[in-house]
Amino acid sequence: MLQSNREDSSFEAQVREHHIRVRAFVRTLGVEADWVDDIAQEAFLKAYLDWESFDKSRDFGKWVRGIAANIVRNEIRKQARRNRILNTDLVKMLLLEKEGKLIDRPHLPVEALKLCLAKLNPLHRRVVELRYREGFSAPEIAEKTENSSVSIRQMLLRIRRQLRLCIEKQMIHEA
Amino acid sequence: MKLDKKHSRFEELLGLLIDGELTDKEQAELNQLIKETPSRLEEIKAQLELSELMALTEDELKSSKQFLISLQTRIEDDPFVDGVRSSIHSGKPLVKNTAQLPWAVAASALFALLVTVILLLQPQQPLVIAALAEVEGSFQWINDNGRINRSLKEGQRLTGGTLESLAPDGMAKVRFEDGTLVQVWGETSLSIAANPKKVLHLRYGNAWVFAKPQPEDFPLVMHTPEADLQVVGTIFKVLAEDSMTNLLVKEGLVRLTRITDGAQVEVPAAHRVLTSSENVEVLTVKPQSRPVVFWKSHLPKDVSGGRWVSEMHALRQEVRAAAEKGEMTEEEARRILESRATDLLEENGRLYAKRVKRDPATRKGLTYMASLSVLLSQTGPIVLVDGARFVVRGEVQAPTGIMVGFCGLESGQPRGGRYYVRKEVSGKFELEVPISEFQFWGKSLNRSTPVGKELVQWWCSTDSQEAALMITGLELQAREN
Repeated sequence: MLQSNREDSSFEAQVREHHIRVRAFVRTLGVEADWVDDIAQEAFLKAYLDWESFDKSRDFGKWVRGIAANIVRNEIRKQARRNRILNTDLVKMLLLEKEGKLIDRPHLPVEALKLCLAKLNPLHRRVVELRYREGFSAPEIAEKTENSSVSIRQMLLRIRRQLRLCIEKQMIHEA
Repeated sequence: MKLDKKHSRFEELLGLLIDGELTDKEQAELNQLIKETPSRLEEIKAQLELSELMALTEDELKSSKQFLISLQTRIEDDPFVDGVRSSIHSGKPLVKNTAQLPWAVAASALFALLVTVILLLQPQQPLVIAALAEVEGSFQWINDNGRINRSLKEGQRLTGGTLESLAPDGMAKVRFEDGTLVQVWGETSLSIAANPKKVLHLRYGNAWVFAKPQPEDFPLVMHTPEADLQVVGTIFKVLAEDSMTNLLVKEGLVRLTRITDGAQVEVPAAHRVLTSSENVEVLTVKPQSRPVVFWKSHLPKDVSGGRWVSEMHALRQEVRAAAEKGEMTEEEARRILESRATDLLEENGRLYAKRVKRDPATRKGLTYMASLSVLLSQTGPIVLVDGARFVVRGEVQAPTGIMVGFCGLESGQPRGGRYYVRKEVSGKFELEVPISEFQFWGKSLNRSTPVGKELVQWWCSTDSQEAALMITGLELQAREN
């Protein structure tokens, strides 16, 4: 039983450590936002079932990201109405990269993102909150902020670019 | 297309892609732009990644804790793990040939792990408060530990938690130990406290409550965002939103307390009261209006699912977008708005169908739905009579099949059903559909005619995103004598 407990907590610790990166990775493969957690959990579930045979000296995160990439590959074969991806052709292109490069994409730490979010100007901060915290769509945010939905989407693109630069600077600074 | 124009078009499509709003045509256009400049793929990845990380940071439902709990539930519900568990219970080997022996060993270890985890997570048996008496359509149950169950079945026992609709075309009934019944429909979220007293929280949505006589010390209490309702034994109908609570009492007496100022009123049978954050005057109890058989929806007030855009707002957006693109000057935009302002009413507009994921658990696909809650603008019941017909006005951008449906409940009785009809439409349309054409949608045992029932919810949906379904008017007409 002691052995079991250790095994279980060790799997849970691995999930805790890697789930954010796995979820972000799944999204970069072109999975619909609402289905990202579903696919990430499926990948962890498969990993759980193989956990006993997994060589613990290997990189767990890389292993699960590989499993997730295979699940997304399988999605392409499903009928369009039943799959969980944004666009079959686009996902094919996103999966084209070599396996190693695909699953080794540099990770953006959430802690750095939080610091960068705090630096946004009030309007950008509000738009981010409306979109990601309260779940409003671009047309709904446009209505609330007296903007057009096109400009809200463009604003969000710019905010994400700005945040990425900020995170990369943070990472260099910390390094 | 010039390079900078192509780039701004790419950005426009990328924004739509991230929101999952690209049409098939736009998807093909985006793919073409990527083929022309493959480096755009990297921008797409970067944007998708940031978008997910921002959702993880901001959205509580995507918190690490929530993810781990859901994963735990999924591991427990997995058929393979379940199979292992039952084979061990029955004493039968999981595998017969030795080649699969390592699986059996691994499975036994997994079972031991699961038992440990389950015991740790459930130190005591949770209190069963009620049971699901009926469930039609897409609902989920989130228990107090945050575990989500989307495969709900009749008879399922409920501990403390929240029943939530996943689409506006469903209805469900919860039965308490003493026979008290709560019937919900449309977009609804109803929480039940893990407490032997009946404490409910209608966060939003609609409910009919059929309360058995309650002990005086422990009346049934229903909280809504605007008011607290205390019940001794009665039948009442309530609709709750963030900023209003509309209560209609059929039998008995309900005491309503307005949360903002503690004002109290007692609402007797056949009376109603409306609390609203927009109206903070004295609470007035009024007799319910007489039943009507004709009805014209006041779309901006009745909308419960979809996106309402008034004509005035649509014009403002159009003009602003044109000004941003440089197609007209700010001055021209202002002049257009001023000249048209008098012709356009905020009450006229379009109700756009919104994407609805009917059942994420079984992945039955997406649909685009506009829905109306009849109770929102109505002060009395709307009764469906023999020969009545719906007149539906709307528009689609591409020919498509639509489903028109409604929910009809028997007045003062926990009975009723959902009804639907399928139609083909194109362009601007006006459909006249007699209620006799509608089919019963549910279990055949409960089959009943809509005639005589109260209309409480109406919806229209299509599976086609390209159709961009919008509803511009809805009427219920009775047969002319």
